[in-house]
Amino acid sequence: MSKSEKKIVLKSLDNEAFEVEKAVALQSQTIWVMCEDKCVGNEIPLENVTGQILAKVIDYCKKHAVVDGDGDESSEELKNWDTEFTKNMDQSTLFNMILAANYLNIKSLLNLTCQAVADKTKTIDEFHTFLNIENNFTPEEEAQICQENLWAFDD
Amino acid sequence: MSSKSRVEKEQASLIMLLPEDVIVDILARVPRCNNPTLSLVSKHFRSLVMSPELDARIIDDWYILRRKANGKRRLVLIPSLTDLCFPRSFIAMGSRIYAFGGNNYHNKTSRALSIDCQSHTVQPLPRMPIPIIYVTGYKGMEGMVVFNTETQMWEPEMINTGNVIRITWPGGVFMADKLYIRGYDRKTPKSFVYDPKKCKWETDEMLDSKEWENACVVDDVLYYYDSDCVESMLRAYDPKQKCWSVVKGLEELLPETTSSWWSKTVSYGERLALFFHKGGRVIYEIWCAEISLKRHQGGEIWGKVEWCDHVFTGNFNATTYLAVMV
Repeated sequence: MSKSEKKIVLKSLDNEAFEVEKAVALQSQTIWVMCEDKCVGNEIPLENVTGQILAKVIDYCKKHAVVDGDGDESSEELKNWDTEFTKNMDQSTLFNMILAANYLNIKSLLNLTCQAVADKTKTIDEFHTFLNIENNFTPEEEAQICQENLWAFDD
Repeated sequence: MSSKSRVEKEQASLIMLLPEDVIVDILARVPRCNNPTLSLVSKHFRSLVMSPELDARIIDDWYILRRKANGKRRLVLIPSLTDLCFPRSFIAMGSRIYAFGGNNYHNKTSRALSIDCQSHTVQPLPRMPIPIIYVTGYKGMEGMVVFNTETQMWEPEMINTGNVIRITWPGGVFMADKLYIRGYDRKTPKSFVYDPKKCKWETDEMLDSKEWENACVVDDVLYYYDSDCVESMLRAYDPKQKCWSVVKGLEELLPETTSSWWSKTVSYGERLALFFHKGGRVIYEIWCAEISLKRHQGGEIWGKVEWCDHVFTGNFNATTYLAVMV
């Protein structure tokens, strides 16, 4: 296989081009299928992902393409890397990463980012602020739900 | 247009741009004990929390506290028990854990099973005569049923609760031949005590002077970790003397637990295990301290920390701790 065949170009929504190793890009099931179908050349247009987000997705895929399959030490290291990766992401980046992981069909990245959102939201206030969701219950409805929920509490 | 709906329109919430499937995936990752919180976020969330889909994705893992060759203790995953997926109420007896219930937010199940902690296998038990066993009141309590562990059958007669008990906290305890459950009422906490010999319900005002929860019983004394006061402490209640006291001798351990946002006690033979956490809210450490208890003259209870280990690092919530004999 020549060098060029091992590489693939991903083009973002805003026309930013990223040249990456095939092994890196093929972690995306969507790209995999596109390549299999041979309906695209070496350049794959990704119409739903911006360059800024795609760069991060590629970072993730690069890290995981290299370390996957190694021993215990490195899987621990990878886990730490994952934690750091999502730790300081702002809300908008995180959601766009989820959308990208969903569209590109990268299961492990989708898991990681969904978990990150779940971890950042523990209290009702955090749900309202971080997820930007308006509480549309009336105080009476809220009280009613509190009562109904009581039986669901577990120790 | 009301101000509320105007606000809703102006603030497009990002999470709603996600496919519903992905939203459910996120919610399934929020620790299950937060589901009551989730259902209060918004109407849409409430419908998701109550959907069967969410329940199907929630994953339960079981861990065992093991002592490793280096002497350190660790929580180790039991792979064969992963994803039992439903039970809500657990009771440990001998080498078995009985799992009952429970609620999966949209309906109540009467399933029951037992887990053999030697072989880590699960066996189904006869279904419960009524869907709820331990939680006594949802829209008024129907009664309490008894599972006979010798015959492995449900007793035909139901214990009448006389419409006295409506809603209770889970996690009742059995102490000095009586069953103690704590009623849920924010203003006036009230415990209900059932004496099976007299078939009678009683109350205990002194017990109610503290908001006990996640309690365990060692030698017919109830213990719970109280984090509501300025300095957290381990409280003890002796039902015979009808008095509360504070376990002494834990001055070194307790400051370690102050950052913990949950702590649970488990009785473990004549000893008590206190589980607590350290570190952040995303990735955190689970710690466990084994405490032996001794009653001094004059009734003071002294605890001695036998060991205190960092047993796990994780990003999930531990909901139930059980001690079994193997």
